[in-house]
Amino acid sequence: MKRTKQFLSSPLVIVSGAMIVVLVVLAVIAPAVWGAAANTENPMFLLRKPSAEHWFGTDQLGRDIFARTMVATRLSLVTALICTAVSAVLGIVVGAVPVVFGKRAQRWTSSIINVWLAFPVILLAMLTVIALGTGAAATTIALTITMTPTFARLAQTLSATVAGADYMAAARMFGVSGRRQVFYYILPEVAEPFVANVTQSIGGAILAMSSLSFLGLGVQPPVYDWGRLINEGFSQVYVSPMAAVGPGIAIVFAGLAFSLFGEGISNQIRRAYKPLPSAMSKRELDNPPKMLDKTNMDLVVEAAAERTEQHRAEVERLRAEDPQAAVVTVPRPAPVLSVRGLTISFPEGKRWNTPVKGISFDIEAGEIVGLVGESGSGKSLTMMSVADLAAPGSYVAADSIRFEGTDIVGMLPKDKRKLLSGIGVVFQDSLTALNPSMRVGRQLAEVLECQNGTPHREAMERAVEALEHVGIDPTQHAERKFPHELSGGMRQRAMIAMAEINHPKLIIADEPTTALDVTVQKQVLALLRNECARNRQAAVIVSHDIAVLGEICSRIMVMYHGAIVEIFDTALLRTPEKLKHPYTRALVSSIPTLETDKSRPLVTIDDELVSQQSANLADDDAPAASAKTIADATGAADAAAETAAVKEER
Amino acid sequence: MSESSSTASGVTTTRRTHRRMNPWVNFVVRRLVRTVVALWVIVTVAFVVLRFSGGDPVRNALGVTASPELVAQRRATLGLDKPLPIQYAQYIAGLFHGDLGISIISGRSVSEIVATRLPWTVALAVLAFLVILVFSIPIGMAMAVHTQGDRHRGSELVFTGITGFFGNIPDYLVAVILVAVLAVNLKLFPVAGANSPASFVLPVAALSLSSICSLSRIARIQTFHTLNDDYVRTARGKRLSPMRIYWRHVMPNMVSTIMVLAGNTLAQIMTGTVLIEQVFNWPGMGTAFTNAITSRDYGIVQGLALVYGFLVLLITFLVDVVVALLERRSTMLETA
Repeated sequence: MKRTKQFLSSPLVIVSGAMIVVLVVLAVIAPAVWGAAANTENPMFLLRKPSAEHWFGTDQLGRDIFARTMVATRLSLVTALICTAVSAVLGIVVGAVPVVFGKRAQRWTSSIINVWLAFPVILLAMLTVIALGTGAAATTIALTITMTPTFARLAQTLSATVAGADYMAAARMFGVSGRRQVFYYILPEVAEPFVANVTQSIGGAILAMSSLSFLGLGVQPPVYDWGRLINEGFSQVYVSPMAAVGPGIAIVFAGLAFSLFGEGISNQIRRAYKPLPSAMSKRELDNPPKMLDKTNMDLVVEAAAERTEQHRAEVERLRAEDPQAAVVTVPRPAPVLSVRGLTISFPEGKRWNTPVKGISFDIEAGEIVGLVGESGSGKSLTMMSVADLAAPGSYVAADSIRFEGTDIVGMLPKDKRKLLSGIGVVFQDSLTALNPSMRVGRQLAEVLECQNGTPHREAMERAVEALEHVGIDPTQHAERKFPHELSGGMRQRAMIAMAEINHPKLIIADEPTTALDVTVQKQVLALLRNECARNRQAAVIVSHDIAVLGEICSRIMVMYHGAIVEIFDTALLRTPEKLKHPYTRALVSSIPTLETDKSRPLVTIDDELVSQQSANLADDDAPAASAKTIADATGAADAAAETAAVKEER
Repeated sequence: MSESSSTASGVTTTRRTHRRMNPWVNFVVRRLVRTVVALWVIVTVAFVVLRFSGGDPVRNALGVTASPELVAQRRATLGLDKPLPIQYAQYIAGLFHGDLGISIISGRSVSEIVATRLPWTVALAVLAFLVILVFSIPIGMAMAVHTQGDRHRGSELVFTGITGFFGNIPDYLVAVILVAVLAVNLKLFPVAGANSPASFVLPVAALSLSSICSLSRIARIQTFHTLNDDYVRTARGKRLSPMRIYWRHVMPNMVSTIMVLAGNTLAQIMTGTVLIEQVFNWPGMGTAFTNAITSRDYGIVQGLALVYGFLVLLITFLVDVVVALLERRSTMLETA
């Protein structure tokens, strides 16, 4: 069976399985092999220490303790198995069956299980033993009583999830009988996790059973199990510790075998629903893919040239207006953020999954740039990696990521943290992104406290000011509230205030308006734009909504399947036919306007058509740049900027 | 300071929306009912056990050699000569006056035994509990941070190996091994009794070892969940120092989970002391309890079982209430 094969692929399952086999074999053969030695009293060898002949020594009647430990395997194992099995079955009956009898039955059993579970375990076992008298049977019953509610609760939770599933509702509608529901619908679904848990509990049962016997409440002489042996051995712990520790080893061995086996199985079950863990060596992990050859430097150079041209035109316009300005040099703004060949990969089994494929771009000081793409195009991942906030498990490689001229690639975490405090981040969902157990004011103030060492009181005052700046009515005292006490719009405003509070040079906003309704969206966007203008900050707004970006950005970068396919001036949105990449064209023409014909369905993007067309485009264009040409192209972009400066000075 | 202001905000929210008050009261009342019912079941079970455990408990306890007069007299003091319903009523009424019954053998009041022995047991349990918390939660959190995102597979394996192994050794066995090695062989600590502060070391260690292992495992998994929460990324985005992130952002959001775990642990070690006290001959309730069981003094057994049951139920109830208070997002109230 495929499933069995999967379980056997885990070393944990194999090792613990082998341990269980050893136990079972011992339980079967031990009484025959060691039975005589275990019961032979030898007055010559009373209370002996361990020796080659008697590995664990001898007891007060001269019997070999090792032999007794081996023989006790059968009773210890059988009692544990019986009470686990019986309580598992009872647990299913109490826990899972009421599901088919409707809500009322479920509520009743649920409260019975609750009271039952509230009982202290050892106490319950002891009282049962007192009521029934000591002995193997009484202990087994006592343990069964204490274990049943745990299984019942487990069966209940598991089957409640199944009962809530749509196919169960369908089955009920089709009139499937209650019995059939239990046997064909509920049990198969809950079986695997239940079995894993039951196996683990056998270990627990062995330990619990031995505790009772150790206290002298379990099996009584002349019968003995491991706990009883420890109880007897403990009296001679001064003379020969092995008399108590020896049987203890057996208990630990058995407990470990079953609980590891159960754990191994449940790990495998969980793994079946998870992506493959990385199976790469450390050396392979240290060298994630770089994909520098696929980078979009041509677009960056082009955009830089365009900006230079615009800048030159602007300088010229100023000069025409006022010839005196000629003596004033207006330097072309240097990029505040400059990314070259950013590649982000995740290890999956033996292979790399690379959702961001060697992209490059520049963000100039003071400009608002949009990064647009469909979900899964890698846009959020890109910006989060730039801000050093990528999810653990992602591997980032880049030729360079320069923030304010300093390359953060390979920087020490501490220095990186200091440098990147110049980037403020606005996250997507303000409800989950703000700490639910901390007041909003504190969350703002701690930015100043940690980044600048501002004293607490002053930081709080600045936090209150910052909240007022983003348009939150100060009489509402948002700073004293917890995030969930604010409305969605207010939270997002507070989030923007938090990102802005220490006047960063660059704001990264990851889908800042997605979680908001349309009217609030507008206000938040206007707020972002005004704040950036006021503080002369650059911003990158990540969004899947090109219409939103068109409203506040000066340039838009388009990401498609992990690559930047186009960088264009927002003005071009009005003339989509001038756009180069088929995906951008399709994207822009899919924006509905007031003139859009409402009788026809909205335009959608045909992925296949786009990739076909972009393949054609790539063929027409020059072959993709190599790693070397990146450096050249970077030089070209810088050179273009320099020429502009030179021209100004002339 | 933050504590008082948090309750103040709680009051204002409940005052504004009166309906939000109800689920909370409802929750506490339901938990209280559950606790009282469980307590009543324990009381009744203890009562029934004393009356119906095979044969005459008084004769069993006093032994065959005891004179019939003594047996009859003890029966009368225990009230066993009256009809069952009256016995039950008197027993319940006695409980409300703090009368936990008397020893069948010595005739001593159980309340007296509890008064002298309970402090020792509680001291042991609370000390072990503190040791468990102090070790397991930082270890679990540190391991979570260390092995986050499948890093450091080696240390993860070592961690799960060690905790898996020691978590599976029963407490009493740890106690036996500790006694054998540290007390008998190396003579570092007293073997038994509670005569010096050093006497606490071994029992506390034995009580806490396996719990430290299992709890630090759970703490690690819980920390993983919390580390994946969005606000932790926000905190990193604010370029806070890692320590500040862990203590001010991760830790407070784990408090309720940790409280539940800690509460369960405290309840568990409260009864776990029974075994450990037996090993170290500790002057607590556990030793008296086991001795009473072996000598069939069901008067003591009944009284002490009630005390244990009451302690465990009280802890569970308090933890439930505290967690409900901490849980500001009322999600758990709806599901509970």
